[in-house]
Amino acid sequence: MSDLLSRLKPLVLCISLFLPVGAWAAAELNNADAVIVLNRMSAAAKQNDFQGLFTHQHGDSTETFRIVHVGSESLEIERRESLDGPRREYYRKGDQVSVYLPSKRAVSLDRRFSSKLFPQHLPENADFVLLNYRLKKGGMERVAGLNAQIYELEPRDIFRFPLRLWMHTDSGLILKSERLGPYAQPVELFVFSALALGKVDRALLNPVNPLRPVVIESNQGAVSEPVEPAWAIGHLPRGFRFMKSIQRTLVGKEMPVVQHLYSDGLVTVSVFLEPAVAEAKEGASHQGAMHMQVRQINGKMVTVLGEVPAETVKAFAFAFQPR
Amino acid sequence: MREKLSALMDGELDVADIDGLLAEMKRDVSLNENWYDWHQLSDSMQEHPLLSPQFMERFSARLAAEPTVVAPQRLKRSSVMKKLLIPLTAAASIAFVGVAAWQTQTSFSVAPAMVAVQSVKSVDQKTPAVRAYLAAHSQESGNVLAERDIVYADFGMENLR
Repeated sequence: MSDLLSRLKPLVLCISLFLPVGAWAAAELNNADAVIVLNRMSAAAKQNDFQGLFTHQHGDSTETFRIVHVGSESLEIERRESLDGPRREYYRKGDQVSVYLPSKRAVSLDRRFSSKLFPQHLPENADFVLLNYRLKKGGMERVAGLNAQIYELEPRDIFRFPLRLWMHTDSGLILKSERLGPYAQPVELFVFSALALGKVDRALLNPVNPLRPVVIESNQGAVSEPVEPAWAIGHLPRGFRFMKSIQRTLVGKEMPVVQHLYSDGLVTVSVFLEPAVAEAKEGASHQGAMHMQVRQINGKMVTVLGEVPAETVKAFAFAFQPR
Repeated sequence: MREKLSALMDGELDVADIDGLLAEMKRDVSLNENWYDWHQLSDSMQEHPLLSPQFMERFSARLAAEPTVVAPQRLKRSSVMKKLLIPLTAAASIAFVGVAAWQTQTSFSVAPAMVAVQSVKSVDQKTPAVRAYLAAHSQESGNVLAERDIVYADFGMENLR
């Protein structure tokens, strides 16, 4: 018997290597509790009055923004301005958005995405998010001098990246948000460096740059089927839903490009469909968590872009077949 | 309809009703989504492992390439050894699936290094087009303030095999 055991020992060792190891020791919340936590975070970002400074770190760039938000009145008002880099400003009153951007390109926004900026970047539909992610509760940490509870949205499969959130224990506001990338290392970070909750000075809401209004598309968020006569769409990575299709002209392109937008509740993936371009090569590339896959087939080209793993953009690219 | 769908998932739907339900699923997108969502939920609850997208393709190709052994060599081992071999082969196939799943996990943590090395070539030529895609993507995702990221976008291209 001991002989048999010693024979099996390497095998047991070998199998145990494949057992999942919890690198981030945290308790998983059940579905009902997870919905409550996520809804608390998104409600706090809408309903609170606050002003503060937050830093956005992405790739090699670090930028600081000032944010002033009024949510306690009937109409939500919000102003953001960049404090370094090119001047940018964003002003939102209810559903009306105006911006100041260095480039003169036309900007239009979808109503569903017009208020998705930090710390309000959690979706309204917690159930849809929880189909694709588990919510785990971690330890406590201090952010901007405030006590925060750490949570992690951990993907249920290989098609997405984790997102860590630091929630202010008193107000429920997200104080810090960290997206992890391919090496499970942080690739994008939003973090408050100063935050004052409660009534804000109304003068801080006045724009400092000449703003121009942004066209808001009145798409109410109805999930529809993609209509694409030139392409057959096969199996897409699980958990992604078609959001909308836009025809647009991109800089440096003569032909209009069709852009499909898919979402898993937390991140969006864009699929660009167009005629093949002679100089464009097939391949995969990435920067931080943003992955891209280009595929040319039968005189047509698919370009997929999103803050999702290489596996996901590849699966998207190979799901599109010219008819 | 939802009750029927749930019954079909559990294998409890009458055969007579199946055709009608399938026709309804083809017509109604939301039924189809329910079908996928419920299966996804049950898969994740039962913790079924997910294989890489091209797993079946690669597996079939490798299986086709395996030579067919017409007369396998007789195992010159005791019957005790034979009994032991059966669970061993089962364990080996489990280990194989484990390896396959594990490799897909690591393959994307290895890939970025490759990209970094290969991204040197023709970056200047490619970036304007990439920036246009990136700008369109971040605008649709709602982040109009991300212009700086787009300006500094520095995607390289890694050629496919």
